[in-house]
Amino acid sequence: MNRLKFSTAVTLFTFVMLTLMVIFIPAVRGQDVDPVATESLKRMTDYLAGLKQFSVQTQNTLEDTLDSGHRIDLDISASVTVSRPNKLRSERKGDLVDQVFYYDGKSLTLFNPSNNVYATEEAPGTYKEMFIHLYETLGFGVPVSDLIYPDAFELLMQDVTFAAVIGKSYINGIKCDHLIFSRPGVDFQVWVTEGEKPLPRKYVVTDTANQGLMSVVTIMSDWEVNPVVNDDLFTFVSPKGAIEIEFLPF
Amino acid sequence: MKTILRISATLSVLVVMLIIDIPILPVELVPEAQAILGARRRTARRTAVVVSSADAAAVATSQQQAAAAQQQAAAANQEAAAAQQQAAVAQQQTAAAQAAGGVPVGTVVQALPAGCKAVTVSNTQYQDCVGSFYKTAFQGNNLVYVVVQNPL
Repeated sequence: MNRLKFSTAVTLFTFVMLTLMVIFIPAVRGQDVDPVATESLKRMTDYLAGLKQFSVQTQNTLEDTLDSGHRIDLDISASVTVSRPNKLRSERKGDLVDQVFYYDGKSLTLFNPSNNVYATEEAPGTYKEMFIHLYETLGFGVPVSDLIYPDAFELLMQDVTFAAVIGKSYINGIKCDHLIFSRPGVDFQVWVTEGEKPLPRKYVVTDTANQGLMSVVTIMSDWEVNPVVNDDLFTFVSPKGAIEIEFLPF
Repeated sequence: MKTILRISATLSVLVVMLIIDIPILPVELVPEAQAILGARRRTARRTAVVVSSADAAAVATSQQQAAAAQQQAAAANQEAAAAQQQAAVAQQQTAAAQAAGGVPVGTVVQALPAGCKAVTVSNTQYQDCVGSFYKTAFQGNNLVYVVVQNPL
């Protein structure tokens, strides 16, 4: 008789477990996108969007492979100044470039001081259109440029299937929340400063579509929110002896 | 009655085991990542044991060297193939467009050949490189040189 009770108990237990499983599977699936992570990302993009002017130093590392198969890093340091709604200046130095980029909402100029050559083009009136123009017509992409778009959050969250908080971490000595987001083909991690000024300190985009899992790493430091910025900074004035050249059609 | 009991008990145990194996439940056996890490750790230890023996180390080194040599050979092959390709391309180009001192118009290079001097023709600067003329341009954000027709 005892046995019978035991077996009934086991069967009942199994039944209850199965029922619980059926109930909880959808809930568990929903947790793939952690609302705490998305909330943190939104706080960061909202804060950035709310800054009329800012400047930041960035250190970009592009992972690459030599033809010999060796993995190398290509580094570019940049000093970026943004004045909303549509002015931007970026001075970049690195393996690949030594140049100043000017955008004043009407035209864009790329100036290579070491060769004393520059190219100027008419440009669209918003950051987003301008960066799309850069990428599609002139053939160069600018890492983390999407962070300054007014709709950055919606763009970043597009097709995201996984979001999580990895934990707390320090970037250049500053305590951050480490977040990861994933969409088909791309993973990105972002480190957001804890506290009142949720500025991004590090941004890693990983290409998950290829086996090499190459990343573009951007470390952001020396944030200045609402610095004093002169509009002259964004308009190129040709230095003496500088030669105008063209962009090759892409 | 006993048979029914046995069958139901066995079935229940089986179902419980299956449930534990389903990873979405909070109950989890050894996660896969840990299992892999464990294997790695074991492999590392085994390698360490091998290397600690001098003979084995020598064997490992020679194997490594062999592997390196093979790699080099492969690289050399690749280079040879690349060189052949270049030769073929060069031949084609020579046939297609014999202009500006031998280098076809429209060729884009990252660096100028030796012995160039700057010439300015109607406000545009060119590089005269022993009969080949290059114009400086941006390709994306890279500075490049494009072979053009003799502007003089």
